[in-house]
Amino acid sequence: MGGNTDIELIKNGKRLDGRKFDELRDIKIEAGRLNRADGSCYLEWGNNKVIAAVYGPREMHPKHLQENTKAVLKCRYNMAPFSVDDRKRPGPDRRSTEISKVIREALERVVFLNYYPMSGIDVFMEILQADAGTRCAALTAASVALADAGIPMRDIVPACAAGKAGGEVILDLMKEEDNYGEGDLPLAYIPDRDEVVLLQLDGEFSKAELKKAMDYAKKGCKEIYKLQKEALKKRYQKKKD
Amino acid sequence: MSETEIRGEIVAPGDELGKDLKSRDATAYMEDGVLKSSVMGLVNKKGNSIIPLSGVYLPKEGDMVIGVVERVLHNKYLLNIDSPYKVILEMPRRNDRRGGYNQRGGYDRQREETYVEGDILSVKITYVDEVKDSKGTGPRKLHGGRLLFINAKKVPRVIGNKKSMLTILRDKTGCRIAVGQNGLAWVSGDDEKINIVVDAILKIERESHTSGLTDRISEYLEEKLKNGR
Amino acid sequence: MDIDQELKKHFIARLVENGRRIDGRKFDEVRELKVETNIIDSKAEGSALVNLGGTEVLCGVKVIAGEPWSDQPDTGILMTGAELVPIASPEFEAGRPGEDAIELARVVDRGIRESKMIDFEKLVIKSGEKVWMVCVDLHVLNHNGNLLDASSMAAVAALKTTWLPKFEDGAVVREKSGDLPLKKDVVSCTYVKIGDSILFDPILDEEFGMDARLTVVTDGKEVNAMQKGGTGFFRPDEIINLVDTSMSNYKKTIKKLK
Repeated sequence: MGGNTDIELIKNGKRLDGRKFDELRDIKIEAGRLNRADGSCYLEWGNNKVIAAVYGPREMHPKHLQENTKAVLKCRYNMAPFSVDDRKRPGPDRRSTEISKVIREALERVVFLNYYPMSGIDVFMEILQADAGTRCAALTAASVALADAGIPMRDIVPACAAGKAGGEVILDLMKEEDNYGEGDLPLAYIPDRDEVVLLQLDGEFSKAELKKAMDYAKKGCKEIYKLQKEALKKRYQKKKD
Repeated sequence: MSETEIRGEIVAPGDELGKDLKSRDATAYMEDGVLKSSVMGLVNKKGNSIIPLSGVYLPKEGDMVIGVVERVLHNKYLLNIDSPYKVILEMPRRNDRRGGYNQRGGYDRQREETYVEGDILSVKITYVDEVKDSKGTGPRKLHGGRLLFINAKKVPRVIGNKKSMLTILRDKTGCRIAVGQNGLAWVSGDDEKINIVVDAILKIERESHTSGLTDRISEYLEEKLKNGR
Repeated sequence: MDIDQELKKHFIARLVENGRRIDGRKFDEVRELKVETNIIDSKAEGSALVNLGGTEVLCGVKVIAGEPWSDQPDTGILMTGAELVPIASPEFEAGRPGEDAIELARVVDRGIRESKMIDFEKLVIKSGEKVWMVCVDLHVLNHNGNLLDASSMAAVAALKTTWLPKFEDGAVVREKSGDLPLKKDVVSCTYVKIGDSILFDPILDEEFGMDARLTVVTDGKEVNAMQKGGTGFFRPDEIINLVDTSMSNYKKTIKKLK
């Protein structure tokens, strides 16, 4: 967060990319993208390009971390070195570790781990190109990949970030808004269940702004949820020989 | 290629299902009096059953599965059945009169066989414990042939109603085919014919959710047998 | 996993259903807080030891000189780290910080950074070349629940005692040149959800039995950081209520940190 006054993030009531304050970027979701993984999803969200793969349930390693009443869910959010402006050194860093944790906690709310005692379920999310909102894109893709793998879940989890830029509350920050704006609020909200399973915030929000940001993010999640289900069902509607 | 009909409605996790729906274990859950799907599934046209479209195999008593011997321990074999869970096959004890004898007292040469790592066996699951490891019995070694891994949820389609699909595959090609409930299939026979059967099974797997599949597979086999591969 | 904890989990859930907490507190009551500052006074530029109901966190601040970020040549730097050292709990293992330690450090950092509590522009030694780097390190000494709030308070208390060294002839001289320029204080409030109930300032057993956890960091006027933890969920209106409660708690807590 910079609050940099050199860049006018809101000009004449419009955002830099022309979107309305409560408008999402273009999102394309494809289920079943990889043929070796048990479940997978490729997702484009603005300029974000993300791919998620699920392996499992399968034998859990390391064995000493097995749980005899349920499966162990392991999540790994990883950014490719070429995904950002300044090349990122390969390997997990503190930010990726935190993101992996909050994503895992969100997914653990919905996955029925008890059906697969002693086993492990691996969720891998690779950010191939980053343009703000990667953790929400990753979680969105991961939910689709889990459903694609046939792993029983209560529901699909959509995620989306709202924020503040140029003094205005906006939905789905793009890169400049994220870098130079005044706040970021990633949210994973399951519409039919009215459940928030991921929430983070950084910036400066008054209570009213926070409420508005949450409302925008909830609205975004509702739209994304529809797109996720469409993508999953579409997989079975294609005809080919 | 014209649009092929799907034999039912595709549902996703969280979708509401009709109350009279019969579901197995992990495919649906009840919450606040509403039945919801927990997987990507196909609800039949009548709306009273749901089958999952993908997922791993969970051992079930009574199932016939095909597995590969992964480890030979001093008194048992561990079979890999392409599931997070293994099947344990106990070895008959050497000096035990029951080893080699079946329950009716007749001598059973099959039961004296010993196996090595890599052997392909079909076994029947007799018992599944709380952590889903299972015991198998009645092993039969499958010699030669080719092993195929398909999605366990598609096996019923590959076998067909009253084995109708399996019968077509066998009769038209003359191959020996065994399909385990765990998604491992074994095909043996003439090399050319094996390839045709494998392609047909993969086609069934891809199109398992469509209708008119049995006829289409029948035509497919006839065409491939005429033209060769 | 402590078997004792596993059993307590069910016990706590039943207590909460009956409107009670294991240590007898009300649902919105915080534990006793003790703050001692300047503990590491001969080596650290700032330090504080917080004891929140038995959870003890020692925060040490070291101020070192370093290069500013290339895109922010006139701004000082903040770095926050946390270690869950093995002395604090039978569950902590030696080694590099795991995900819990990383999350703890990053949430505390966000509260300080986003509130603009530290006046970073006053930390410039030479524009574009040298700035003061404020290194906040949290050392958890005893874990009895709510590491987040204890750590946040320890960090704020330590920063308030932090002095800036002198920079003479290209080197750092460890003599006080002034106080760390601070604009305000922030307060962190952590709640856990057990069943349908929400409890403020969880004690260890309550954390073990929780469904979800929410931390709200505020400067009294605005919310600067929030983090939901745990594998359960919150309803959106529960979250808004907790933001309200946190704002009200602000004044009370600030008094304790003076």
